[in-house]
Amino acid sequence: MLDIVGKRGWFFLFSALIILPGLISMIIAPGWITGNSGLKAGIDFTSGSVMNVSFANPDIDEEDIQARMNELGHDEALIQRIGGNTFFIRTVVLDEAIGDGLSERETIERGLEEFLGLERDRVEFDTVSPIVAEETIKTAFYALIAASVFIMFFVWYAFRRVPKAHRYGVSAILALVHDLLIILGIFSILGRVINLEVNSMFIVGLLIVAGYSVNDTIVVFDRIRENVSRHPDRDLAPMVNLSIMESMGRSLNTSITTLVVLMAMLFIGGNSIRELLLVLAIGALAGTYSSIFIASQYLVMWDRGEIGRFFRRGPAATASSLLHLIGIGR
Amino acid sequence: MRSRSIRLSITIILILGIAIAALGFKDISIDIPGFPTLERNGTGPLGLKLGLDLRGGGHLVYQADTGTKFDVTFADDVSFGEITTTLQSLTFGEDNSTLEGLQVLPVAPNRFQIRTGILAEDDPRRTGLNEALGEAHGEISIFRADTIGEPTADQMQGVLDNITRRVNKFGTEEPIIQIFGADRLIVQLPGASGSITEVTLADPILAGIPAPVVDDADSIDADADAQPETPVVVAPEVKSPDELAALLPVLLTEAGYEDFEIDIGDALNFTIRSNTVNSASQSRAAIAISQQIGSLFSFRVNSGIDAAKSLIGQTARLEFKERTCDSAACNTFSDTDLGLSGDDLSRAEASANAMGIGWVINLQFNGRGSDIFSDLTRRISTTESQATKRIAIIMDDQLLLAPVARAWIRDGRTQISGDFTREEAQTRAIQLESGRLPVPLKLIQESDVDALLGEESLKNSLIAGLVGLALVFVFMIIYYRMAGVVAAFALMFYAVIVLAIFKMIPVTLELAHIGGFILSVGMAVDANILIFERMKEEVRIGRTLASSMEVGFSRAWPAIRDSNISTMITCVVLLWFGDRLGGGLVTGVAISLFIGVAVSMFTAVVVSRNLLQLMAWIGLGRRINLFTPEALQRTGPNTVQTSAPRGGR
Repeated sequence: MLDIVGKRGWFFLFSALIILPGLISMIIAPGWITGNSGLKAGIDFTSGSVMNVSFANPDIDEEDIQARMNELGHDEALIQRIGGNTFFIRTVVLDEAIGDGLSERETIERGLEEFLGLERDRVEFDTVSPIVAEETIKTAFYALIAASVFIMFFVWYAFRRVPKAHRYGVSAILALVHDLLIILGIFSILGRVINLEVNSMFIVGLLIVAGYSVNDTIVVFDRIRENVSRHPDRDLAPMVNLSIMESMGRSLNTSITTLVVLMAMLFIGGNSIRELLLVLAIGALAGTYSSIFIASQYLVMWDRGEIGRFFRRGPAATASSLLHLIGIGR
Repeated sequence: MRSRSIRLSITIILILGIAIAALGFKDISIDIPGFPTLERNGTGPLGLKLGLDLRGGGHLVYQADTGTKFDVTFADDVSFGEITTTLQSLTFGEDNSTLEGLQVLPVAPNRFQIRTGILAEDDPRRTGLNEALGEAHGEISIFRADTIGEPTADQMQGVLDNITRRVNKFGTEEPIIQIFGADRLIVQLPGASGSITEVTLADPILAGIPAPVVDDADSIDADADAQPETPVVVAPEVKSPDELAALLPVLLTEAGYEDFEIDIGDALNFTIRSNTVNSASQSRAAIAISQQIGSLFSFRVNSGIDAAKSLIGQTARLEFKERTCDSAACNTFSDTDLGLSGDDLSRAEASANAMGIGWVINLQFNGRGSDIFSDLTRRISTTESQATKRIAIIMDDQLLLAPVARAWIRDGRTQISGDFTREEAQTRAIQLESGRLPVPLKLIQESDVDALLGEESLKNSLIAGLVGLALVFVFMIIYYRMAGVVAAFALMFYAVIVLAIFKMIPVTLELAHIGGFILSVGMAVDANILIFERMKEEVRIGRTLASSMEVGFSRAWPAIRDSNISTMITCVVLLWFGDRLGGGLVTGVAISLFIGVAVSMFTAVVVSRNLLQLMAWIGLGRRINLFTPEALQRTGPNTVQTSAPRGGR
């Protein structure tokens, strides 16, 4: 049988290799230093207007649109192809019509229709003012914290027959944090590399992943609960390892079926929720990984006092402890 | 055991039957005496109710426009840049507070509107601004401050009623208007994403005569209720409304219009609402109408959303002022404040002109308003003052109308006539009504989806969902054989039930719901997988299939229960916060995920289990390799693994 618990250092290292670049990307400029969150913020968080438009002519490219937008007085416009001849055009908040005049949006649509053959029947338009932008993040953040607290207490309650039940609750939340950090990090890097912006669908995705991640973790914990109550005299580590192995098949199959549906949606389902689907796909992968290799390891580390040692001895010692777990150093 | 299972099977079939019936009959209307009537007739497939992003429409969020507004006019020349820089750097009082939420609007040369957050009467920023600006830019000739505070619940209700009335006049289908939080209003306009074309035909009686020069000054008449003396004469060449109703759809379809609705006002005015927004079709339609119906006087195309927004208004402070002009043309003028505002107006509506052609706007002032208006019209309706005096009706510092008073109006009931088309008169009337809003509003969020795009999204999501489900079926059947077939049935059952629940609640489906639904499909399979994996383990240690099923179920249950409850907790928290997080999106995902998880628990534990038992009894149970082939190949039925020894719990 695979010794997953014994090799936990390697799994933490693997997670760290994914999370750290993302964290660095979030912290370095232009990131926290400039007051941003390190993610490329879409209009939902900064305010502005976004149009998703398509053109009948397949030869249109970003430059054509940029040139036309410049002539319409919007040289701030940011244009991205999002597949086929569908484009994303982001501008400052567009003005409303005054009196009997045309709104700025109408002017742009007419201009693009006249010169580039914009399909005006297929326009998606969003505009958000700065007031709304700020609130969304705050509310989502509180929602996430509230959900975490409730779930922690629920897991504690559900595992009350097992010794030290609170540890299961805390570990489930730590695994959740792990998954969310992976998503945040990857999106921060994607924001730098392909200018992927996050909007409120991203937040919705994070919240759904929170539900999925804990769901996945609890299934493994349930196995540990069963095995530990059957053999209360045995050491925790081998029981955890056994439980991980026993629930491995289920964990993999579930994530395969979930990913299959997500991929079908991602490739066929159109552009409107692609960002949400991407978050869910990354979240499903991260959730499966953490439920197998990360979540239950916290239980073992807590049981052996490794967590306490980490915090007592500072970051340098933490790193050396991790290296020790991998088998290097000492 | 067996009879219980049969009863259960019957119950399952019954539930399935009800769900299929609920979906199968597109329009449902059940009226049982004593209960509220149940009506479900959404526009989507299976009669599901579709949200704006799947059917097209506009979603607008308005907020009460609170804050303090300063109207400042300088005696000397001050540029917009200078005043903005000054205002940004100003600090007040002991704690050096700055102006929050600062906005500067140039109104006229040397005149600016300065908006800030709400400032109390004794706030140093309010009391000190005049002096501070005077120090920086010289003498200030006019300085006025005005605060609009947080709206009360009553005021918001007033806003809601007023906006509802206006949106209903706009005539879009099933608008949703609701108060959101303390000071916001959500307006959803399905079907408003297209275009509105207003067509006015040239009056054949006047044909050949050059269009009259329209005087800027509209006129006001005293006897609003007088009976028509001369009926409107329609020349025989003009098509009757019935003929128009028959002919227009043909012309428009030929021109390439889709999904249109024609609203025929009279023989010379009609409005076309359509999902089609391309100029090629529009110009074809204009040509066809001018050739086959009559020459065009005007053909105006407006985006539906813009039209709706201008009616809802960025509203609105309505003021009536006395305007004194230098001449009849009124090129230069000065306005005098009368203390007469939208609050004094009790009603404004459009009606066909009883005295002649065109449309008029009827106004009715309340008691106080009537007194002021009576005093005003007494003074300015004399023949000599009619040349230079106007009633300036100003909304948000923009002139709406400037009629001449033709008579002394004592009872506060008056009529504004001019060369209004029906649309113009209605728009103006609604704008005047909007001036009665107790709180001004500003648009803070908007999202519009065109109807055709919505249809495509819906189609693509449906195809993607079906492909995804099919792939899951294939995977499950390859991996779990007969059990996989059971899971596939359970999944179909699951999908039907969830859709039926969506329809009956009813949930307005948006793309966000589809996201939640997809993930819940993943979780629905998960419950089956958990059960099958446990079953396999039991088979491996040598149990019969029937008993493996029983034990597998009971062992998998705690994991299914606890993991799904944790997801439901997340959903409830999201629902709770979702109310504040822009409503729709988060709430949508949370509701669909919650319903999905709840139904998936039911299908896995009741439906899958029952199906498996039935299979065991009809003899398939002895052929274990149909269920877990690799269990036999790898370990054989009697091999005991290290993890095997397990007693009862």
